[in-house]
Amino acid sequence: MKTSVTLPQSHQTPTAGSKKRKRIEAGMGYFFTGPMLLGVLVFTLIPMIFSFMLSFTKWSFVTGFDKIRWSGLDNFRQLFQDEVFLKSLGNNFIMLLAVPVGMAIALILGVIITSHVYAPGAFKVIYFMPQISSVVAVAVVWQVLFHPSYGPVNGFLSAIGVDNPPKWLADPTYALPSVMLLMIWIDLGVSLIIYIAGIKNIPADLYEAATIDGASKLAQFRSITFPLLTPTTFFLLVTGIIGNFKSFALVKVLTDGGPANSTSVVVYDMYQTAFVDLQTGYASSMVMILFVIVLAITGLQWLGQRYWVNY
Amino acid sequence: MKKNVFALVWIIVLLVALAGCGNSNNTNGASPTSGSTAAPEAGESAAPSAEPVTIKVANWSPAADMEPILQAYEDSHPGITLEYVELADNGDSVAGMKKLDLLVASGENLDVVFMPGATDYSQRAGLGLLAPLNDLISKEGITLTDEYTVDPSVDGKVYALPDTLENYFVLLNKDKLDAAGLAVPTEWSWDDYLDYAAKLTSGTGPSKTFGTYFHTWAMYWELAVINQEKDNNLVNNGVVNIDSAGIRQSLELRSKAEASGVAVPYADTISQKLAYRSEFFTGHAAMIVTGNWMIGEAGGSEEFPATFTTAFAPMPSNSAGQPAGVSIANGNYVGILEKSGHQQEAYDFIRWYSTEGEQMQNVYSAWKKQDVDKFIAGVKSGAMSPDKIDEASLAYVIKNAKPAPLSVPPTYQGELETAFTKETELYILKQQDLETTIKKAQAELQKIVDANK
Amino acid sequence: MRIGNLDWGKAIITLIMALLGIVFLLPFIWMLSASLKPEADVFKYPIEWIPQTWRAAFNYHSVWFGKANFTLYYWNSIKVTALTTLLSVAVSSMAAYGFTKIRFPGRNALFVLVLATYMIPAEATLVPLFIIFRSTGLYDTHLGLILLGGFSVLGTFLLRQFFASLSNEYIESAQIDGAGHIRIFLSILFPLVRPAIATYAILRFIWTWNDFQTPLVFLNSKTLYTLQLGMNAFADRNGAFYSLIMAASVSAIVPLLVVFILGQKQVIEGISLGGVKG
Repeated sequence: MKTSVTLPQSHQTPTAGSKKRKRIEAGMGYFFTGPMLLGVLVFTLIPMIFSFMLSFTKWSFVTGFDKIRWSGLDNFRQLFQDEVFLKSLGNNFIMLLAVPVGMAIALILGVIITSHVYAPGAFKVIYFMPQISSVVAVAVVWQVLFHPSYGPVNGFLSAIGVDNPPKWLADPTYALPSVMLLMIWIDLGVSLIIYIAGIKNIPADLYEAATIDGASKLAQFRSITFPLLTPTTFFLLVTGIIGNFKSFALVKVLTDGGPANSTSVVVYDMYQTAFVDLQTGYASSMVMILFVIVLAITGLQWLGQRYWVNY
Repeated sequence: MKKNVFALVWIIVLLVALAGCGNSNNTNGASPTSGSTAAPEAGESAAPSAEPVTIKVANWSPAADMEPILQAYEDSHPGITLEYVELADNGDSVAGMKKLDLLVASGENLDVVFMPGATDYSQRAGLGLLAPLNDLISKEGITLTDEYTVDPSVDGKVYALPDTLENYFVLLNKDKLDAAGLAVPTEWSWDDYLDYAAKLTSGTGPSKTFGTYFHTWAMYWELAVINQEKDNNLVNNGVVNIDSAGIRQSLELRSKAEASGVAVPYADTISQKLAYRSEFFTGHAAMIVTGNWMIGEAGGSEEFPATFTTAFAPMPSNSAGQPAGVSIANGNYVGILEKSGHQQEAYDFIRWYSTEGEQMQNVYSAWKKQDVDKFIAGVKSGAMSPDKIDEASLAYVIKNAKPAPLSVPPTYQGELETAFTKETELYILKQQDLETTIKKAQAELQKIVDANK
Repeated sequence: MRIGNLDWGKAIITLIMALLGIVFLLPFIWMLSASLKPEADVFKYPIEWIPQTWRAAFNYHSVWFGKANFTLYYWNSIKVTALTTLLSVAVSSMAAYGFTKIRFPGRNALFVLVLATYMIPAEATLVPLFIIFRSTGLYDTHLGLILLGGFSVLGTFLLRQFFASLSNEYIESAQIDGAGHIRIFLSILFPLVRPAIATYAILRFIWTWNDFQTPLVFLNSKTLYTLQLGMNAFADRNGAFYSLIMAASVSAIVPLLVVFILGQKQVIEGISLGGVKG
């Protein structure tokens, strides 16, 4: 198998480009992508457009369509004065930091597990366990480890002379970092196995050749592993950031956005607004802001990929 | 072989995609009238009452609990069929409300809906989801306050009848009370409460017994307000009640209990997601302020077997000399959807249910004619260890309860509570002082009130 | 460094990794421990990792033969999850091939559109989706769940990255031999990206299996319940019975471990096969 870097397709000469052949080619393209496009249309795109339209209304979904009231840009004006929303959005941006940190750890562990330990299979299962385990169990163990009064973490901190160890999840300053740490811990397994799949995709003869040339392990990582993993890294970065912006379940289970909104994120705020306060229109406008931001960030990454991603 | 599997999958995909596509054209057809394919028979037109009528009743209680009651109504009212819609399979009212809202949004023709508390009720009344009942009530010729302990009026209109009654009192671990040489209180104030809490606190480390535990609910930040006859909410008649003696006393009560170490630390409560049942029944906290849904559980449940005797004390007053036992009365509410085609039939049913009907379930009812002794006997007969319920103090608390007329919360009560709790959390976690908390909370709640004018 | 067959450096790294690994195993150990003891002991502090009072038989018996039809839920979960995974792998790998190896008008725009839909949180489209489901009859069916999970965009993106890193030489030489796209896809490229497909299949399987929100909203009949939903029966208005929920969770983890271990084997075998061919 060869994973060599190929030229973008536009540089290749089209093979005997008769019109008919092009039509067949296009038909095949729609045939292959069609099912996905259809599914996306029905299950995401239509609901999304619906949501988009609702963001310009005052409406509660329980009341029926006859009570929709057009409100123009009111929702958006209100959003920019909504302290909880702005706080949540800010938290989302801070939380982004968890993505590259988690990926770096996953990459290092991935390299170690594939070639520097005994029983690599066992390690893959072990590091994947938080992903499989019940969310409740994950949250409970975390809560207990970081128990503000009797937890082992604070016990250790007191033992080494820290006077007032943080109250972690119950501390408005430390709650968000705590959630981020937990997030990295849970999602590590996913990035790890995707990285391992990527590492397995790198032909072994490249390393053999490098070893013969006398390249150190670190040099091999820099010149072979890392560059050839860039498509995987790109994927993990893009989906990681999108996923990070969408995070909800963990916050809901662990802190309910508290204390004092210090861990609230946009989707959590949106969920509360839509399903607890029953303000569907206003909640939709939050989604729209989120969507525009994520779209912009992803777009930038997309444009930037040509500078560092090797296909 | 792989190819065959793949071909099969592809065919499935195509079929499925076609099915999904063909139908998606109806997306916009989910207007209230189109109803659903699942329930074609319900309420297509307002049938004359002589014809058989089907009323759809939605509640989060398990079907096994509800069906005997509905059956009894059908038996005594020929021509009426009650169809039960179970909103949650484990009695979870929060999940149940979400399901209810989704069902209503997708055009399900429900008639009678239950709501677990005044907040959920007033919110849906404010959205125009519920039918006003005033005409039906005056047609029947009753005065609601003669019939029920709770007045369910929202801005002068009645959108639901009170079902169960929920008021608040104190549960005490009588074994620990006896060990500390304390009597079960009958008249007491919050100062006495703190005093009791201090005397009941013992031990250190993870096995420490705390005098009391305050749960995370908003009511625990307004304890010296919810025990008032009047103005017992965060916002009363449009006036924000934060900058008041009652809220100051409530917050100081919490702060004193926290600072002196007689209450479970708030940091533990939120970071460990502590549950009030386990705090009390495992003996970790000796007293809790709670409501009457806990009466039956004092006799032990499968989850928490009763290992000690539970005594009951009335809600403390704000200062010595004031009567104890005053508490706002909340509870479940039962209303009729505005879109229901059978208003009269549905009304007849909810009147029956909220009075005679629910007696079959032995719940504490907002109906004034409920027989309290029978209720207590019923609780005891259903308990796993009836002798662990201290009957004398229970009877005293129930009979001397003074349910305060609840000013049904504004339609945006949930938002008020969230905003208020945010500030009080900063206070108890020592991030801001009392006056800052009062000032900020007052301003934020005022903002919510103004936005909802 | 080497004594006999043992590489000491490797052994030390293994040991460090194992110690670190304990932290990752803790949730599972807690689940297991909670599933073996009486409810009142579950949240005792400090944690009794090894139960003082054992109630394993009672807990597991209540889960499997109690009031909830756990066996049926188990079967429903297997059915929904397996079909979702199959559908998702099929749809995603086809789309990934189409988006990388076939040139057709609007290709990039369509891909961007697909990716954009991934940016909308599921919670935001719940209400319109619910309405769509109710009006198409997909509400309260397994088919509805399978379709929702099956058309997830993530797989398309992941596999697209792997397809993109495959050389076009394979396709060109096959096309010279007269092979069409379907044949190239099925018999040449599909096997080459097997590690990626196995990885995605594992993830899709686990996520679908553990999904609680989707079945909660889109299912109603108890006979259709999946495991995650069925476990809810161990929580009632009096609160959750964590000992039972954990006994159920431990039972529910078994298929995930099997799929994970078998799937990882696929990743390794896939590579050696690919290595021979390449």
